[in-house]
Amino acid sequence: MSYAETIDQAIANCKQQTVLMQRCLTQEKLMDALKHTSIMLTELRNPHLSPKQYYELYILIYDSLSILSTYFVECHTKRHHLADLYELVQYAGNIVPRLYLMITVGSSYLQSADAPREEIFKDMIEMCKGVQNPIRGLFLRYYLSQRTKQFFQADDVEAKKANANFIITNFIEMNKLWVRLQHQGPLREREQRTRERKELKILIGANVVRLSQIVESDFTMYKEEILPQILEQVVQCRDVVSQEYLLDVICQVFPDEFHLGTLAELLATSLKLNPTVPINKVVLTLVERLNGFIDRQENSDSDDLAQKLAAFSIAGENQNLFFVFWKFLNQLSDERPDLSLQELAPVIQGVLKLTLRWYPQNISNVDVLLKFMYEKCQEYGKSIPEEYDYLFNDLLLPQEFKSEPAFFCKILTKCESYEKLLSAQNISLQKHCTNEILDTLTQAEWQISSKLELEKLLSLCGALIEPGVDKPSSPLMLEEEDGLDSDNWSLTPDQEKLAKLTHLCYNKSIDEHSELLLTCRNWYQKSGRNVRYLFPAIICNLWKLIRRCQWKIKRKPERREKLNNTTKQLFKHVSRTINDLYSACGGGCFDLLYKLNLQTAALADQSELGDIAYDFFSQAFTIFEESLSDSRTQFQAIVSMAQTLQKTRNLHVESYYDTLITRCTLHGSKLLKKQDQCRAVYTCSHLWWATEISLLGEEEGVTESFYREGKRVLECLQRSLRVADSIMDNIQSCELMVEILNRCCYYFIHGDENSTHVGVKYINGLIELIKTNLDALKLEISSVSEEHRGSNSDEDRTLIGIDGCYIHQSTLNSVAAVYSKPPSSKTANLESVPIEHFQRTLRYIQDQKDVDSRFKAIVLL
Amino acid sequence: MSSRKKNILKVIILGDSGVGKTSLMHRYVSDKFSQQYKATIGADFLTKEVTMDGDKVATMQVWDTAGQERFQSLGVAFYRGADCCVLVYDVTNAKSFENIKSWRDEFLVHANVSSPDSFPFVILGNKLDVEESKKVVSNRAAQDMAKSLGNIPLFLTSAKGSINVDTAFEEIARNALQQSQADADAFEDDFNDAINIQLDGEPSSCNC
Repeated sequence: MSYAETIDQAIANCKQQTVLMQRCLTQEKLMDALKHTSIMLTELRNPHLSPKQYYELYILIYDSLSILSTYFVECHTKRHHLADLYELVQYAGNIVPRLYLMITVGSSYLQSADAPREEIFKDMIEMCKGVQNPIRGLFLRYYLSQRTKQFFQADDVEAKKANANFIITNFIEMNKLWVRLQHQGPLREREQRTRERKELKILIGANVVRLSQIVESDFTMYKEEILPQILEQVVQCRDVVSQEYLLDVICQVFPDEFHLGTLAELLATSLKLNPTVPINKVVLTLVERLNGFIDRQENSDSDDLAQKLAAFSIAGENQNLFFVFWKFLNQLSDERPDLSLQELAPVIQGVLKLTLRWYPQNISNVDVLLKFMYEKCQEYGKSIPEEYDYLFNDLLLPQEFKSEPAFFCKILTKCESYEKLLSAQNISLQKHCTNEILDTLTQAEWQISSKLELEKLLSLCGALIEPGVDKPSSPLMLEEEDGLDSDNWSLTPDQEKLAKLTHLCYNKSIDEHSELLLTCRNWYQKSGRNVRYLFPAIICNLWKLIRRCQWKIKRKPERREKLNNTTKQLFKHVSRTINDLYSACGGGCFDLLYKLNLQTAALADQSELGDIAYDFFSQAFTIFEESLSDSRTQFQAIVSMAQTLQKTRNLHVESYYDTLITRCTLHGSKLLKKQDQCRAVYTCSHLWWATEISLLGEEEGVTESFYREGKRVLECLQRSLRVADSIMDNIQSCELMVEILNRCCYYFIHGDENSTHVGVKYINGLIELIKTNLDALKLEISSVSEEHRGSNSDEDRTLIGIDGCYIHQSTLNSVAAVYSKPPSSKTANLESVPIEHFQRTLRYIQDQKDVDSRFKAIVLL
Repeated sequence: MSSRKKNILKVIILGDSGVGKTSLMHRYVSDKFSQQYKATIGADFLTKEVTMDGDKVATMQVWDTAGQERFQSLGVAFYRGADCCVLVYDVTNAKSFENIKSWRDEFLVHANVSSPDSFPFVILGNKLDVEESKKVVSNRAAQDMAKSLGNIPLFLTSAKGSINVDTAFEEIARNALQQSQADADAFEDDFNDAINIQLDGEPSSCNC
């Protein structure tokens, strides 16, 4: 008899033989049935089958043999005696079919009450030794275990023990076969052998499952009989695949409570394994099981848990799981000095997971673990290679930390080893970690209220604060960065996150809060020119504090004096911070400094501190005069200044206001470009015409004390009109005049003619002037653009913005682009800009005639 | 002949890890429940004699499987020859419910059944005993799912509280028996072909 060549043939054969066997059974031709069965079983002798193919065949054959077994049992003593059959099948020619038949008969025989149970068991397991080919032997013994499992339900202890011993014997033999497979065949097929072994593992594992079914919930039996024998086999076989798998299986198939009771034994075994077994996997599996135990508790309060543990006689020091693991770690470190950081870190990580789950608020456990790891890093001596980053990343930022910001913050601030371990890492990992820390805190909107806490966090962020530690060493970059006016530093996310830390500071006490901010400032100071990104956040928070003071003063007027002092102090901090920013960044950020000063000045004015406001305005002027050189920036600066000054209300002491607005207007009239001069001056005209700020309770017509001087307003308008008139470019000149006309309308509406001095006569004159100029303009251009005019209507338009920029509007889409220079294209018919603007203004005046009778006096045609 | 022929009904229980497959099997076969959690590795079965419609006797082979794939190192050849497939989810675990469909597909891919459209499945939503607040899979959603997968019978069960387990398995057994008979009829045709081939080649080797 021989086996088929392919697996498909083999399967077809088995199916066919099964049918034939069944037919013989119905005809009660037992001998023929046995013959077909043994032809079928011959397929299992095929040495060329892979484990998976063998398993497929095995499943098929198992089903067939079940049919045979049912027949054996049904016809026992009626047509045959199973004891005779047991003898009979011994004559089958080949050992594999013979033993399968024997086990089938034997297990059928065992179902009858008169069977010599022990003898059959003993005989079957002895006979199995006859097959020493690993794959065939493993499946045969698996068959034995599957066929006999139904007889293992026993209640009395002795029977249980006997059953367990039967299974353990089978298990040990199977494990030996399994290990032997590794050493079979040529060396070059070693990897294939390992792969095959890993596929076969389930057959060996099934025995452990069987043991777990027998032992049920008998912990004593497990601890004293079963586990020691399995573990002994695990240690003795010294085989990597086997050891790794079996420990995994033990963890999986026995209940959690058993592991709690035998933790020390399991951990001790893991120390005796083949050194190439990944010990971290063993520990992790165990930890996952134990953590799963907590997850599975319906009632998770600690008393309930303690009771449960006590039930499994886990007393004394063993009751603290962390302690057991900690002892193991120390032992591991003593006995296995060969373990690399790479192998050790995951073990620590596993224990960390355990303590976080079992003892969620315990910081000292975490500290101890991180310290252990830190010491290992120290022992390592060399700098830690980047390939290990992921290991330390997992240790320093486990998910459990990130999801519990409060606990994380405790770890960060109270756990000394955290900082040590972090600082032992390379800069890029340190940066990554601090980034994550800041993200976690920011997202959780964690409040930092104590200085100690803050300092600890800031010191953790050292890697982000101190610049240039890992600066790219390209000489080109250095040169660029050394340039004083370099605008090339881009805002890095790191700096942004650090700045956000400032916003997390909060303390109910204003003094303590400001101390927190100053602490931040002192730390940020170390970051050199990067303060440019960090100090604005501090200044911003100081402003907020000042507002808080103001608000308190309103609520508690009796504390005004003290709070006013605090406010003054805060302004000093702002001033100092701005000055530090100036000295650290030099030229890099005059614009920023200017705006910070203006903003602070506005706040001081709102806080009714005119002197201080004046100081900050003066500072702003100094920067303007000394350092703002770009003409566009200058123009914008004047506009900002005018806007800020116009809203001030507390500068009237010692004619501060007069001084400031005169200075502002003067600067405006001296700008480089005439257009800028013109616009700056008419903007400054508003400085002599205050309007209501309803937030302060002011109301037009009711409030008497508005600062208004119509004469100066008119002077300003006159001045800017002169400038506009003097501009050679007619388009620009006309456009500016139309803008001035618009201002005139504003004053005409917002006051009566006598006080504003902007009256009907003046407006009529201006309209007349613009008309004349526009006529001239039209004449000037008509010859040039005559040919374009017809086709131009659909084309892109260019407009002039209120600050003199050019806005290009495309007809294709709704996108508009803003330029600071006039468009070069001839077709951009700029001349229509003032004409259309003028027409729109006239239309406005016409409309106003319906609502305001004063407008009727204005002549439009 | 058909009276003894294949009176073993093979039932496969599938579902995510931890949904209670093993517990359901134990509750059904031996009416026991253990509070202790053990993970299943590989696949194994328990058998139970069932009587249906008063006279039909069969042996039900209930296969319990590992929810975690890494434990099926030898593949899933045991799916073959199944007569019914039981898909289990945990009413407190939405993910396990979502995976029901993929378990069904996985079964159909590997079981090599003759007509996938009519192969009987049964869905069980286990852990019905837990308090309402922890349940995340609504009955409605479960019914919709069962309907969309081809009107699969659905039972909400509790292995722990012994709720609905027997009823569900009666339905499973009935479906399995029907499938088994359909398969046997189909096989009969195959077999008639096979016997001709067999008769051609057999005589020489048969006379020993």
